[in-house]
Parts: sequence; C-alpha cells; structure tokens
Amino acid sequence: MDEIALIRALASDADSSDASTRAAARQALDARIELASSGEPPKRHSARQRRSLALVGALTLTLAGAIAFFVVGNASRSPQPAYGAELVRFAESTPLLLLKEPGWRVRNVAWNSVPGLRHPPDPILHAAKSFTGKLSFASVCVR
Amino acid sequence: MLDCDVILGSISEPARFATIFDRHFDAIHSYACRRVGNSAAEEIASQTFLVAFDRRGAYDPSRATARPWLFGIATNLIHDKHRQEERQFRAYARAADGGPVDALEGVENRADAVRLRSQLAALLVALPKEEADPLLLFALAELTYEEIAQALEVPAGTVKSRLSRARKRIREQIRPPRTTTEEMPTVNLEVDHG
Repeated sequence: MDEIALIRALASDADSSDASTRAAARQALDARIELASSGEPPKRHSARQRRSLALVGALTLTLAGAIAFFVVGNASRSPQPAYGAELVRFAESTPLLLLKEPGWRVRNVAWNSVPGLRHPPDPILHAAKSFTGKLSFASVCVR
Repeated sequence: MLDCDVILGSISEPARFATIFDRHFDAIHSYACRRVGNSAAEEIASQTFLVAFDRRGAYDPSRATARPWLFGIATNLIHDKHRQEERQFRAYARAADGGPVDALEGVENRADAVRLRSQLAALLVALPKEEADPLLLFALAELTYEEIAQALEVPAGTVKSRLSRARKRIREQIRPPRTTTEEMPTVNLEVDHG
C-alpha cells in the first residue's frame, strides 16, 4: 500500500478555489501593487547586504532569546503539564467522546495503540460513543 | 517568460507581479485547502502572494520557477494555522463516505477504508513539522525533492531523509485490517460523576 497515494486519497475531498476566492485574493494583491506603484520600488539587496542583515537578525534573535530565557525562567517555576493530562484534556474536548449523563467527566485515559501518536486515533473515540450509564472504569476493544 | 524574469521585472514595474498570481494561485490555494480547509486556505493563499510581493526584492533570480518559493511561504503561513490543520485532518477521518476507496489498494470494504483514513489522519496530525512539511509538499503539492529543499530552505539530502522517515513511520503504523480482538488496540477510560 503506497502511503503517498493514501494521503492523496485522504485529501481528495478538499474544495478547490472558485472564482470569488480568486477574485478576492487578486483584489488584495492589486491594492498592494497599486500602493507600491505610487511609491519607491523596493531595493534589491546585494548578497553582502543580505548576509549582513541576516547576521544582525540572528544577533537580535539570540539576544531576545537570552532575555526571554532569564525573564521567563525566573518567573515561572510551575511544572509542565504531564503527558497524561494532555490526553485527558483531549478526551474531554473531543465531540466524539460522549458521556451522555450530565456531571460525568473523564478522569484518566490510557490506551495501547501504535507508538508515536499523541492521542488515540478517531476509531477509538468513535467506539467510546457507546459509554453510557454508571461505569467508573471501562475498557473497550476497537474494531 | 520565466517566473524569475517576471519577478525581477516587477521590481521596477510592480504590476507585472500579477502574472505570478495568475500562474500559481490555484496550485497554492489547492495545497492550502487540503491542509487547513477551505476557509483558512482563502486567507493563506491570498497572504502568500502579498508576502511574496513584498519580498520580491530578495528573490533568487537563479530559480527559474517561483513554485517552490511560493509553496515555502504558504507552508510557513500554514504553521500559524495548526489548529485548523488538525481540524481538517480529523474531518477527513470522519468523512462519511470514506473517500475514494479505489485509491486504497488492498482495502476491500468501506469500513476498512474509514478505519484506515482515521489512522492515517491521526498519524499525519502527530507527525513532527519537520517531517510533515516535506511529506505533504511531496504528496499534496507534488513538488520534487529539489523543489521541496528550496521551499523549506534545507539541503535536498535532508528532505530525502525526512521524507523517508515520515513514509516509514506511516508504513509501520498503518495496520492491515484486523481479524481478531486480541490484536486490537484498547483504550481505558476512568470516569467519575460530580
């Protein structure tokens, strides 16, 4: 199975541009062109100028990064959100996960699927639709 | 006339830049649309040409076609729409009709196709940006390795290795249709009331 063909098939439903989208974008560009036409043309930078600009930019960014590191590093000592907390947040926020009775919330989510994913793929959450009633702990196999 | 000549000419005659728009807008919009959905794609495609126009003075005249340059700008703009991109891929996964199953070689029924789409969408969302960008530029924009290298401003060898890593990751993690429950992934939910 070719993964490139899979990706193309997956995204083949996307809409393509219509005349109004194109016209609106062209209008925005025309306005910018008109503005530029009434002023000075942009200067072409020489290679040496570009290198100098890049060097100045890099130095500025380094300096800003160092300042941010010291300011933020000293200001916040709170712990980073844990991996598990992120999974719970995801489970609670997805509209596919329906705990139908009011007042129920997800306390913990654990799953054992393919490594490298940050959260369960959709089939798992589809399956979780069927969670109703008064379960305090549930385990489900996903087809 | 080559893109590079048009862009160089547009430095003294800005109106000439409209030719670049006319040549490449549809491709850029289509790529953005596939990554972030239609409404965000309109903004990204439009912004791409505004940014390109403003930066035309820095265009490398040795590059005959502006395609990689424009796709690079669009890709950077897409990074700011990460949430929309996630939503778009989840929407693909949930698509009721499961998309063109014919394209999915080895997938025999609609249910398997839907499951495969869901797995793939989740994998794409979880891929690191450094791997997702080359993969999606290759698959959706149909750029060559060399063009992707120009678009992302990295060496072509880096593109090849990142693309290869991303493809391998997907190949390894997309599973063929399962037949027994023992092999299936499970999820445990702990819920409480109050």
